[in-house]
Amino acid sequence: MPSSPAAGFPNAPSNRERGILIVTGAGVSLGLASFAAWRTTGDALWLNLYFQWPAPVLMVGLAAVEAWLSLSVRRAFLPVEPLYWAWTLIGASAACDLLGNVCSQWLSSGSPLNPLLHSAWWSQDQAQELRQFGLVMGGLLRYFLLAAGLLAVLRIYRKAGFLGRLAATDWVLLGIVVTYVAKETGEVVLALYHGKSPGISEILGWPVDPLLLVLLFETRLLARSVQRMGKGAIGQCWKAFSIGVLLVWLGDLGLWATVWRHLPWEWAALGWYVWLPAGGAFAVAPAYQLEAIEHAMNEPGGRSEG
Amino acid sequence: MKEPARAHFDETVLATDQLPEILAVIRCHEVRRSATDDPERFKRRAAAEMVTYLGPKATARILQRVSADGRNLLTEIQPVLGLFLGRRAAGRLASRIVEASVVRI
Repeated sequence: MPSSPAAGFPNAPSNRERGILIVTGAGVSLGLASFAAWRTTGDALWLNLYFQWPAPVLMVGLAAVEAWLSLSVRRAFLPVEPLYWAWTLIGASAACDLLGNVCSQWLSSGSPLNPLLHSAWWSQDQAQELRQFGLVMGGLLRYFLLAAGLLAVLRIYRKAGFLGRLAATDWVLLGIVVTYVAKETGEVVLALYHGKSPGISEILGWPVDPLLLVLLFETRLLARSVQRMGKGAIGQCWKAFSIGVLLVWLGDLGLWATVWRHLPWEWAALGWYVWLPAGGAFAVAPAYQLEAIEHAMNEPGGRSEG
Repeated sequence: MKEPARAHFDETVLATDQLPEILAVIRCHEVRRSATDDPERFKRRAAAEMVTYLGPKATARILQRVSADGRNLLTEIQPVLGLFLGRRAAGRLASRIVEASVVRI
C-alpha cells in the first residue's frame, strides 16, 4: 500500500495506520452499539446482526492486512539480517491467523456471507471440523510462530544493548497469568485422571495458553525495552504487539470467567468485543515498522533517493 | 563460479545498496573538520535526526560513545539503525544524519 510519510512522523499516524485504527474503532463501536441494543431490548437479533455481518468481515480483513503488511516489512530486510527472520516468523504467524479466521469466523459460520452455507456438501459436522482446523491454525500455530518471531526481536534488542527489565507491575501481571495457566493445567490433569479421553483438536488447544504466557512475558519485556530507548518510531511497532497480546489475555480471561461463572454471562459477553481491537493492534504493528523504514528510506518531504 | 553478467548485476546491486554508506563516509570527513570548531554542535544536530527513530534515551546513549571530533559517528549509529530498520534504510538514514550534523560555517 503506498503511503507517503506523515508530516508529524512519528507522532501522527500515517494514512495506513489511521485507516486500520479507524476501521477497528468503527467495528468496536458498532459491536458495543449492538450489545447496548441487545441489553436494552432483550432481542438477540442485534447480536446476530453484528456477529454474522461486520464481525467476520472485520476479523478476516484485519488478519489479511496484518499478513500483507508483515510480509511487506520482511521484504525491506536482506536475508542476512536478523529482523528478516523475525519478520518471516511474524509474517507466517499472521498468515496462520488469516487462515484461522477464514475457517473459524467465516467459512464455518452461519453467516449469510459464508459461500459454503448453500453448497450441497455443507453440514454442521463439516463446519465444526473446519472451525477446529481454524482454531488450531489461529491458535497453536499462530502463537508459536509469533513467540519465535518476538524472541528473535528480543535478541536484537539485547544485541543493541537496549534490552529492558520487567517492572513490578509486569511481575504481578505474569503472576496472575501463571496462576491461571497452572489452575487450567491442574484441571486438565484431573480430568485425564478421571478417565477423560480428549480429541486431537482439544489436545492441540492445550499449549495455547502456555504459549500466550510466553508471549505476555516477551511483549512485556519488549515494552520495557522500548521504554528504555524512549519514544521513537522503532518502538511503536513492538508496543502495538504488546497491546495486542494484553487484549488477547483480557479476552481469554473473560472467557474463563464466563465458563466458571465468576461473571454474569450477560456482562462477560463484553469480552467478545476484545478480539477485534486485538486484531487491530496486530494489524497496525507491522504498519508502524513499515512506516519507520519508508520514512528512513526517503528524504525529508518524501523525495526518494532512488 | 558466477557468470560474468550475473556477477556484474550483483556488483551493481551491491554498489547501489552501499552508495548511501559511501556518501556517509565522505560526509564524516566533513563532520570531523567542522567538529573542531564546536565539538558538541554536530552531536546536537545528529541527535535531532536520530531521536525520531530511536527515541531520546537511546540516541543520548549512542552519541555518548561518539568522539568529540565525530570520527566514529557513522560506525556508532549505522549498526544500531541497521539492526532495527535494515541495512538499506539505515544506510540512507545514516547518510542523512551525517549530512545534517555537518556544521556549515
